[in-house]
Order: sequence, then C-alpha cells, then structure tokens
Amino acid sequence: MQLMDTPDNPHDWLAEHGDYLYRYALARVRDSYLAEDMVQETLLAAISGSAYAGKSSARTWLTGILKHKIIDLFRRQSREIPLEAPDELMEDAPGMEEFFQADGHWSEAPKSWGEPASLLQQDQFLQMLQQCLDKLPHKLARIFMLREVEEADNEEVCKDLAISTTNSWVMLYRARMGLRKCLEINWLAGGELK
Amino acid sequence: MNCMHATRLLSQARERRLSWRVRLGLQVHLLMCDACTQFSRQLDLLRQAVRRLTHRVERDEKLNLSSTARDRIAAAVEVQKELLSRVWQNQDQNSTD
Repeated sequence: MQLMDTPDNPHDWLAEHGDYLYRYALARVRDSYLAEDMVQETLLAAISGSAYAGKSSARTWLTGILKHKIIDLFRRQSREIPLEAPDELMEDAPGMEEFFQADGHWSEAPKSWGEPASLLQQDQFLQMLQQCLDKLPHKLARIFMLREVEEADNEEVCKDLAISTTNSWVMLYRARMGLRKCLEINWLAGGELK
Repeated sequence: MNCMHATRLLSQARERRLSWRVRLGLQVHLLMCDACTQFSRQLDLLRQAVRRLTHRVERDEKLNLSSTARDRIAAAVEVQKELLSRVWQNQDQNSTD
C-alpha cells in the first residue's frame, strides 16, 4: 500500500507551508507555542487522515485542517475555563453601567475616530486594536474573532463553544462595547494604551 | 427605545435577523441619535479593522516558525510516518493471509 495519495511528501509541506500555517494560527490563537502546536497537529492529521484529493491547492487543504484544529482548541479551552454564571451574562447586560447612565443614555457618546479608509491604512491604529483585543477577556476576544473574521455561523459558534445563543449575543455585545471603548479612549488620546 | 437597547440590537443584528418592527424602531432611534449612529459606524469599522489585522499577521514574513519548532515538527512527522507505515504493513499482511 502506498503511504498516501499525495503529490508531494509531508516534509515539503512543512518546508513550503509551515510558516504560512504558523502565521495563520498565530493570527488566531495569538500565542506562539500554541500556534506551533497547531501546525504540528495539522501536519500529523494531514499525513494520517483522509488523503489529499488534489482538488484544491495543498495550502488550502492544509489550512482547512488547521481551521478545524483551532476550533478544537477553542472548544477545549472553553471547557477548561468555565463560563461565569449564566445570570451574570443575561439580559440587561449588567456591567453596562460602565457605558450607560441609569436612563439608558450614553455616559459618554461615541466620537468619530477619523476617516475609516485612512484609519485602516494606519499601522498604529491596527496595533492599538491588537492591544485592545489582548486586554479583552479571552473568551470574548475569541467569539468576536470567530464571528467577525472567520464569519463562522453563529449557531456553529455556539455549539463549538458550548454556549447558548442568548449567551453568544451578550458576549458579542460586551466584546464590541469593550473594544470600541478601549479604542476610542486610547486612539483619541493619541498615546500609549491605558 | 433608549441608547442601551439600540446598541444591543445593533450588535445582535450582526448575528440574527431582527423583526421588521424592531428594525423600524431602531431606524427611528438612529435618525434621532447621532451617538448610536456613530456607534453603528464603529461596529463596521471594527470588523474591517480586525480583518485587516488578521491578514496582516498572516502575511507578515517576519513571523516564522523557529528552527527549534521546525525540527520538532519534522521529527514528529517522521515518527508518525514510521508508525503509519508499520500499521499499513500489518494490514496488508493480514489482508493477504
């Protein structure tokens, strides 16, 4: 029996796609050791699992495996770190006093950050966003990334992270509120992250 | 509808389709409220920015596997290949027996 029906051997995968897979993982798990582990798990799964059918490029195929590995990691992590009591996350999102007055009006109305097209070109703005993401509780950052970057279906996300749909709405709301506030305060102050 | 409700709905609208009644209420609120309109723009910008950030890391050629990690992964791949070829040899033998 042939070792596998693949056009090239796994060592080439590591040489040719290893760095790309690493960066892809790093952008999502945001930890270099975890990202290395993800690359290793991906390549091991690639040589042991279903053969590469050659329908897509090897890179696309490997990235698909990596995506699943990352979701598995998130799932494991969300089991290890129990969610705070559901009550805390529920309706009328407590903790929102930080953002709103008792009558539901903004404590501090959102301000313009500048021209979106130009902001997106600025490294400093993106770095600030990175720092704000790092400050967000992990599980909020993770669900935010899954929805906004991966465009993962919300029902799937809920299943993967073992949370209810309502919980996901509250978590995403908190993530967005927290991020925008962090960005606004620090970007408009023009200085270092507070 | 106050701003706290409006912002919660603007966030939820990204995960689910709101009823027409709620959408209408939200539109009315946004017409009157500059702060929530600004918030809504910020949500769009956040999405674009976080995507750009992710793609930037993906394309950053300065971020590479360390040589230690590369060696470790290569060794793990070797071990796995060795194991697999033994398993498959056994299977082949069993099927020809």
